[in-house]
Amino acid sequence: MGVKTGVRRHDDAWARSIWVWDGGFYALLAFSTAIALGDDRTGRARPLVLVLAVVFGAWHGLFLRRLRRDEGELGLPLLYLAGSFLLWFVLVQFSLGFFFMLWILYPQAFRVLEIRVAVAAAVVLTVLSTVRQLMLPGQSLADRMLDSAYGFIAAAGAILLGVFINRIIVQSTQRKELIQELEATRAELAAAERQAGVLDERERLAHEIHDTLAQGFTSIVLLLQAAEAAWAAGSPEAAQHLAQARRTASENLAEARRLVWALQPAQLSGASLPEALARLTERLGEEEGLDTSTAVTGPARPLPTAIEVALLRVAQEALANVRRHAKAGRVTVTLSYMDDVAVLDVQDDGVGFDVAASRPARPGQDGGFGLEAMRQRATRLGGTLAIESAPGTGTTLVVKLPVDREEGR
Amino acid sequence: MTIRLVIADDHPVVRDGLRGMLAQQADFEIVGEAATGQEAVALVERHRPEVVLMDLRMPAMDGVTATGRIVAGSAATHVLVLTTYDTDGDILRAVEAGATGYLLKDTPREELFAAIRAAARGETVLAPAVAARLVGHVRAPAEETLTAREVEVLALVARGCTNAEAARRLYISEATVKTHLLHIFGKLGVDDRTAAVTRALERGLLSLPRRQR
Repeated sequence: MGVKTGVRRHDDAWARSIWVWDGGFYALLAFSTAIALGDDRTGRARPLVLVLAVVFGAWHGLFLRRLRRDEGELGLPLLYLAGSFLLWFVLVQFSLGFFFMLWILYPQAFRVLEIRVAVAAAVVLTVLSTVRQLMLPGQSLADRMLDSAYGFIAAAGAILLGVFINRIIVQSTQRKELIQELEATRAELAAAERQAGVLDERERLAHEIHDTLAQGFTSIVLLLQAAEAAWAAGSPEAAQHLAQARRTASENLAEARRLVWALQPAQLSGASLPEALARLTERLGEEEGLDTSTAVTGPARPLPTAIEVALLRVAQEALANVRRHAKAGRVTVTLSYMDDVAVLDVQDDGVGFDVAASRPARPGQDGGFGLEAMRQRATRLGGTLAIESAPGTGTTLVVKLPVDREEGR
Repeated sequence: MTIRLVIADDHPVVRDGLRGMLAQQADFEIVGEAATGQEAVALVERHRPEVVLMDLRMPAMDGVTATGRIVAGSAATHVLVLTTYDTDGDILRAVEAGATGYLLKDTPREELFAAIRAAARGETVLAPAVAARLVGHVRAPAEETLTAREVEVLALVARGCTNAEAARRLYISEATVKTHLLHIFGKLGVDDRTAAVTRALERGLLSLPRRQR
């Protein structure tokens, strides 16, 4: 394994700090060039050295981006290294100052090549630098051998360090993959648990449907068959069977409602009576330029739909009356939740009227469902509807409906 | 007078059942059947019926939206919501949008006929509260502490306000002030206003007003 997991994988901390190596390259190139140009031994070769140094820098710059991006490719890095080594070898002929460049050329090899090729490249570089050292004049054989040994030992150290670092990077990459795998497994496990929950719930539902609805339908089918047979025979039992089938169907419907009620999520927001009242009142205010406000007091809670619808209808009717007759500047709608009743007040500061004198005539002017009809509706729900008003004092309509205690028995 | 009807429901079985039932009545005439809210709106525009029987859950425009369009476009048409579930939050939305009332789909025949005639006259129709048992469970427990509004009412009484004055200040009716007072009396175990104020002060439910107005 591990061949493609070379150090060129631009991941993590390694990838983020890679610019340091390019910075190092140019710093050392500038440093070596400065030494070479400052050295008298360079002599007339100075312009040539400068040109070669610039070419070297351009050569590195040419590969700078590609070496970062092209992964797993061998040709381009080898071309880069071959060119670099050649340029370096020529430059070091003019000035030994370029030996400093070795500090960055070894790492470059490990940076752009996968580890085994990089080691080979490092050996080549070591050979090149040793050759250059052996070319130095006037040294004894022992000195030359010592220099060579020194160069190879230093290179071996560098190579060992490179291999060691590469191994750490490989290992960290493996760990990263392992952690990713672990996380994926954990997500799968959670999904599996959810799935199991869904399946449990389905099974429970299937049982419920089997125990209640399916049994009911079976019974209805049997009863209808019996009714058909009795009807064909002209037996009076047919009516009995039909009545029983209808009763069973009603029970089934009630059961289905219970199931659906238990399953459905909490009421959508915006669907509650206080919210509907607030919207209604606000709309009146916007359309008529009235000052409106809505207040809810006491513990707000869902009421039986019949009660909520009745309260909303009364509010609609009362606000329609305000719009038509009251000449009001301000309207307040108050919904009061108490433990046994719900009360709705619609108060305006309009012209008011004499309640005793006009009560029978006032409702129903809109040609239908007037306040009198609402009063009857309130009475049928066990509640009351009243109007408090006098000329010049505004009007307050109040409907009070019993909740909970009188309902649903 | 004949009442012309449009039935809007996406279930053919329900439409068939309703048509079969309503056709028996001499004063009903079914002028159209819609399977979607859009169809219902189009049918109402064409026929201007007196009553639309409206299902809430339909594809291509739900019943609430269709109700709003119909009421806005045809003032003489009354929408009666027909629903399977009394606990449906959309009922209130449909009424807000202008529906005249609502009924459950399994309402007995005679009640359904009477409701359609009432709806044609513009009267509010409410289903008997079959689901009240379910919803009633949510009932708030009887609280021994006073609600914020009850404290407000009692504070006004403590300042010497009459019921009428308290009502005016709170923008509610005298009747509601009285209702609040009765609940306060019940919670505090007293019979009159003075005793209620005294007891509330004793229990620290009420603090003395700094200034008497």
